[in-house]
Amino acid sequence: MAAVSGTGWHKARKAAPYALGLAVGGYFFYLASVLEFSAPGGRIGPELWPKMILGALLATCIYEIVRIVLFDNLRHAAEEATEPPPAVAPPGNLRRVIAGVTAAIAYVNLLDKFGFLLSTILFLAVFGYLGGYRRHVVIWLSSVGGSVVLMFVFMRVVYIALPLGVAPFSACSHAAMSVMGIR
Amino acid sequence: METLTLLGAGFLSLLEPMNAAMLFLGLVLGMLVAVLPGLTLIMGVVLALPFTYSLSVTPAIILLTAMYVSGTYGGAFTSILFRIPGEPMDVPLLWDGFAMAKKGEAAKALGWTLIAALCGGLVSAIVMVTLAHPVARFALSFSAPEYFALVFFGLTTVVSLAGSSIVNALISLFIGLFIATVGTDSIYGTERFAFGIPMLADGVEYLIIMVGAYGLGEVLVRMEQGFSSPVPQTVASIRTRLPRIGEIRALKASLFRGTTIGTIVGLVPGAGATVSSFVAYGAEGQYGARRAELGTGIPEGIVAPQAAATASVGGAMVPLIAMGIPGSGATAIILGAFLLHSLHTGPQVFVSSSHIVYSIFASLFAGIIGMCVIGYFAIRPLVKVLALPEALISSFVVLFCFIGAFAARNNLSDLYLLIAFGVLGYVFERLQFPIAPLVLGSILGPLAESSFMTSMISFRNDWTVFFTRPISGLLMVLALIALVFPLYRHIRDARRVAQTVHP
Repeated sequence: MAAVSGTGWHKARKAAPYALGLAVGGYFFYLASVLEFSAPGGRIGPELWPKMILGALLATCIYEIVRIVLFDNLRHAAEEATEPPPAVAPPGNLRRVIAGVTAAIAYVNLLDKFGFLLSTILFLAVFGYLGGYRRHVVIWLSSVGGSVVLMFVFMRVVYIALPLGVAPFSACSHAAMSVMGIR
Repeated sequence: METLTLLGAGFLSLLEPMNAAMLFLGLVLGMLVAVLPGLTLIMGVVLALPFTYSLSVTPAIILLTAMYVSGTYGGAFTSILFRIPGEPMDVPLLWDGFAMAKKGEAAKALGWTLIAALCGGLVSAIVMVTLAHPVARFALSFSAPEYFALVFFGLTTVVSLAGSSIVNALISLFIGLFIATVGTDSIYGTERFAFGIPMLADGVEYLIIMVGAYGLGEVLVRMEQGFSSPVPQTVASIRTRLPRIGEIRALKASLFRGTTIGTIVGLVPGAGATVSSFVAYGAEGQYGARRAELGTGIPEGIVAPQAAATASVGGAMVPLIAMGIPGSGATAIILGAFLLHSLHTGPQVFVSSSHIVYSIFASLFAGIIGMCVIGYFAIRPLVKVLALPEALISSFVVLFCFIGAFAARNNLSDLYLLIAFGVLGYVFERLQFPIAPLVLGSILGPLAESSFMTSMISFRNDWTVFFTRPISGLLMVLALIALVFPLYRHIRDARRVAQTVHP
């Protein structure tokens, strides 16, 4: 029974996502309750549908929290008794994920200023390095080549108006466009 | 007769250069996406979406449908040859396919895969053509309560087939439905949960949720693991050897079971190729003549799941075309493409755009044959893409996500939402919450709400209308069964577990 005991921390960790769902869902349920609208007498209003969904979300979260708190010991013990330990995912590198998200946010910020071409070259190269790839020539060739090809495809073939950036960086976008025959 | 005439016209339309080019491109891209472990079939269809913006609706849908159908086949190569499932649906192929490859029968295993995909795909395509129009005619009699009941049924099946945790699937679905309520409501014009932010006041585009959660989220998960897909060393000796007619005849029961299961599961809104593949393998284990040998490397273990996976495509197209309800994750994106091109699928589509519908049907037939031909002759170069560095491919995947999200509204602010949904998708993956219910909830949410509100307003807030009208009543009962059955199974298993601990 040693494996069953000492599960307070384990339970708290397991229940945390549902507690978060409960808190966020509860907040939005409150917001739905104070929505301002004018419905003709007797008619249901625009708050009902979200309240139904959020109510169901809250009920599901409560059910799962109660199940974890009250019945998880039993389940945990039974699983240990009947099944081999589940395959544990290899330890990941959360810093890499945070770096990836930061690179993505930086890319969106730069798009407006540097334009699609320059910011995409930078982004593709940085993302390749963050992913652990270290062949510099391949990274930079694929970044530059890929950005140019995609700019051509999306601006010339698919007709999407990609951001050109602000001066002086926009000059680079305009030069590339004139080489590609994009007006 | 009318159906055959329209289908014939559909085949003729495939001779148009643009349609033929998109069919070929879709088949190749679908296979590449299925072969690469970092890319899923749904992600591939999502990423192809921005390329369709400048196309007219027929070649656009042909491209996406071709990707969808060939994606159910391409992943089999790497499963059988290298024990790398390109897609979750290819996991059952590992058990017997890789075992056959280890016995030196890889070429034969690939031949069985081709035959299964061809039979399953063609039979389900025939079922699709036969059923779609009658189903649409039947659906013409639907009004708001029936539509609500149908959407409700679709959503409950998504949840019940979602995987190990029904609770997580429900939460994912509710979050998706809730996100769909953000913005200005269509009946009263009231702004909901927008916090005065213009971007949110317009509502959250389901495209951004799909691209973020499926595309960026998946890349972040793989990035955390360091993009560590194993790279195969040799591809020089790879080839496909087709089984003889007599051998195929001997396996007709497995082919029949797989195809039937795939078509039926595909028809159920919410289920898809992965569910079909696993259910067919399970059925083979229960009813197959050589069930005791399953898992040791026998063709039955390849034929059943592969036939089911490809057959699910034709099945899933029926509710999509006839009722506007996506039958799987990939058809949800294809529905998105329909809407982007202002084509509303549903009962009226056979009246307003039958030529488009039959061109798509014809492309499915041509696509199934085409993918087998491409798979037979081009397996070596297809498998070689596994040698490409995953980090670089992933950087391009993220870029396509951004372009797809940006092009939908030409709005850079949408890209921040995309990143937010990417992070949500990553968190969902890590906490084992399925993403499909979230996406389907966000797509079907507006339809569910509008049909619910219209019903309540038309029938003076009488909610029993969903149960008292025959069709909606039947659908609601089916939906409740779909919800209650997994719950019952969950409780039964819990009791069994409790008895194991305290006998």
